[in-house]
Amino acid sequence: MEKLKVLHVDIGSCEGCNVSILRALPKIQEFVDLDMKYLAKKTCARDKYDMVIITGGVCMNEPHIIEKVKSLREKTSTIVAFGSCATFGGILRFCRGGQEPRPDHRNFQPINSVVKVDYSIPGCPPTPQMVQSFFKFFVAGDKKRLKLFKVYADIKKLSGFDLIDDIVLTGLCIGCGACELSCPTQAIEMIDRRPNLIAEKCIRCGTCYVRCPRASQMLSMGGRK
Amino acid sequence: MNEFKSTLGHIPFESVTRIMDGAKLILQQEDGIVQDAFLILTAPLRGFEKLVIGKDPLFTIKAVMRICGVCHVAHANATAEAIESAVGLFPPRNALLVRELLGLVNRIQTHILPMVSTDMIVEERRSRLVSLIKLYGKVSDYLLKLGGGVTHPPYLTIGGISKVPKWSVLNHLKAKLPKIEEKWEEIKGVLLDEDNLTEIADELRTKIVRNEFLASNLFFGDKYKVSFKGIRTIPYWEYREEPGELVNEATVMVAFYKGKVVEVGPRARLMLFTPFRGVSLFGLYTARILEIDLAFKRIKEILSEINTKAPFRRQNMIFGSGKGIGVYEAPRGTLFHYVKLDGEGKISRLKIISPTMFNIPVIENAVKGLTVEAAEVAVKLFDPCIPCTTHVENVQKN
Amino acid sequence: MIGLASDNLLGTVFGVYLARAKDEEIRRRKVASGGAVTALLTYALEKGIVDGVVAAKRTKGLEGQAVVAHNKKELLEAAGNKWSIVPFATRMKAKIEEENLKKVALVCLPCQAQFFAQMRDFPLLESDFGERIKYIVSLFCMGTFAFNAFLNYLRMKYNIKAEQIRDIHLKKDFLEIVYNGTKLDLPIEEVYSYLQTGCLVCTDYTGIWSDISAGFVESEPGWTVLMARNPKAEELIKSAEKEGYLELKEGSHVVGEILKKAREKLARAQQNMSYLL
Repeated sequence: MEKLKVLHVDIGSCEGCNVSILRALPKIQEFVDLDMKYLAKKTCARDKYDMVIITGGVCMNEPHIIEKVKSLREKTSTIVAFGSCATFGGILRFCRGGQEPRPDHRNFQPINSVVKVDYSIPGCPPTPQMVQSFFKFFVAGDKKRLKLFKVYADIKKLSGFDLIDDIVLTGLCIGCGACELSCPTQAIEMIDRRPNLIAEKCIRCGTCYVRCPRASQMLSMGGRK
Repeated sequence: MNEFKSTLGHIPFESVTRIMDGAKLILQQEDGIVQDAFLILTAPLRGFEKLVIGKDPLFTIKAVMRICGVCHVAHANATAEAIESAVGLFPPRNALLVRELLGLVNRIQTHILPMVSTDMIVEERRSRLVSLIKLYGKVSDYLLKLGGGVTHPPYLTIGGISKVPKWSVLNHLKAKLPKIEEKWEEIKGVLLDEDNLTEIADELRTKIVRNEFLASNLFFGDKYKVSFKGIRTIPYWEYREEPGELVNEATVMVAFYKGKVVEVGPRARLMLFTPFRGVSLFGLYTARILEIDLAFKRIKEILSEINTKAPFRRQNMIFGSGKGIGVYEAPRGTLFHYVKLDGEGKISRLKIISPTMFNIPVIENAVKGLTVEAAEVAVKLFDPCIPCTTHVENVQKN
Repeated sequence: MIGLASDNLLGTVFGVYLARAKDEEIRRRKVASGGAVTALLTYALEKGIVDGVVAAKRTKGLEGQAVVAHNKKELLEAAGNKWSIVPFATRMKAKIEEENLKKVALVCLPCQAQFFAQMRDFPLLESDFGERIKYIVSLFCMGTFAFNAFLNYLRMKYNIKAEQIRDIHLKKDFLEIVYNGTKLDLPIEEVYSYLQTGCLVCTDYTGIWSDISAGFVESEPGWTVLMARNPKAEELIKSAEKEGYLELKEGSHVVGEILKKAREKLARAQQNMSYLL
């Protein structure tokens, strides 16, 4: 079988997601030909790729980054937003500019604000095992399992606050504790069978929301959001 | 690559060598020898120093960890120390030990990465470097078990460590260490075997660079050994004004210590605190390897010093106004965090001086006189930290 | 709002069986059903296919807690219908890590099955333990009680106290509450409003994310329906039969009945969503 030609491009992440992808390499190199800055001198060498993975959020005040993302869209039929900054904005949602030497860098958006994204994998950062699993399902064409990631690709913002608003305050929470277990910053605690959000710890990665069975069931069935 | 013009005003953009997505390395050459170099960091500035203002210390530590996905522990350790000293909080000994341990694991992680990507090892043997990635996974388990995550470890918080490690977990980690060290010894053999090294490595061996060094401690960092007040930072375009179209897009500040260019990082630490003498550029490579050795030794010590019966976090923390400094020896060099809290205990000011800010002038000087190929490798050996460096404010301009 | 084809309602189904335990002891304990889940998991435990089974055990009234069963005896103690959700996830993780279990089977409800299967398939966090989950067994579910509210209702209306309740069974269209040596039959309509709101909008009856779904149908009393959703699950069921733990017969004729229930749940969810959201 021919290997999947994959390009990884970082547009300003913290590198955590990149390291995750790099760490998955020993497990995916059998079926993925990965073009990545850590590995090659020249990336972006081909005209077309089977898949482009983008990490980091788009700095809306840097036209060349917006252009770059748009040009990547031309290069491939499948764009994967990897990590919370790329998918939902994540910690970059808090950015407000004003810092020297470039106070003009003040607004960051997820990739799907600029181009159509095909799959979104949130997480801060998603694990190497996730990379492995995603490729496994992608190569196998497992639509059922890829569906959730397709659904997230159209969502611009998800966080612990949304989980509270949409699931807990509406009374839809069943108290399973999935969110508590999924929070990478320990911002959620179960109190009397309902999650309590410690607002100052939430970095808006959205992992709790995508892991909530009630929320993900509704999303994958084409509910709102 | 060979059509480099030697006049500064006419550097063709196609000669730009990208070392990472967020940086440009521009080399000006004559007959293949580098005459001048620009290391221009262009990664978008996310402005962490500003986004934490008005926020709670608990948010701040979660946020600063996300400045860098490679040196997350370093930022967390520095900010924790700064905030704790601002409010007069002393974390228990266990917490300091765990922080140091997490930091060292993180140091090993970080040092491994450039070794995967630099061209020190001949092509035929490079496939063996995949074992470095595996080693990364193995040491990462220590961060997962004691810090709660391999990247951005959540247990690391203000006042100490939020989750007490189980005695059995510590024992397990202790028992696993010799095996991991063995693996490292094996890889180290590959990395240092003369037969595996490229010609570039030989060239770097002959290039002696004498710098002033700055480091505060061999392992953790010691704010009493260095002076935060002695640091001056300016935007890159003030440090190098020409050519304008190039330097103006830089998103980075450059730092000087007591008016001088100083090198920070593994080599600086080893030169100042051990008998290590790696004066050539190749010394950067060996210093990193030696630091991994030392880190393993120190981790072993710390594991036996942690006492699971004693506390790991301060109780009854009170936050109020104050200012404090945190200094931590990040993998890439000395990292400074300065923090000011308002009366409510919220952040009113944060300044971060990251190691690469010191190293940019060092790097640009060091590659002069090298061949273009060697210069590129040399820059990678310094392991400039792109995401962190671009998040830094002008500290003391007047 | 929900555009789900009805053939998707049951998820991927590899094989449907009616099963019951061969073991007399298990069957005695489980009069209403076939005890197939208990027997199947006993087989998995005794042959070392799994090193622990995590299930909810009712402790008091409708309250439960997550327990790890290592043998038949412990399994029997945890067996039975579940009417409350146990904030399972975190405690389960602690249990699995404490005992350092490497291959566990989980008995849970569809929502939990979804969470655990998603964790296993999509390990977003390093602290996930998906690779330790070998089998996910989901029980058919019409909803779980907001048990504080339900118990309060029982106390006010029927003067039944939580600690008096011995068991609760779902019969055809009523709920049988066994307490103080007597029984009370409550029509399902009467108790629906005491289900958790989240359950009222849930569309999953069988647990489409599980490896094996298990439950009962009215037309086959004394038998448990087992739905295998992948070859791995199919193999477990088949070999449990071969090893003499399970009695098995073809079950495709009951699919219609399960589908009917699933449609009911979907219709309920659609209706509720339209005024909840």
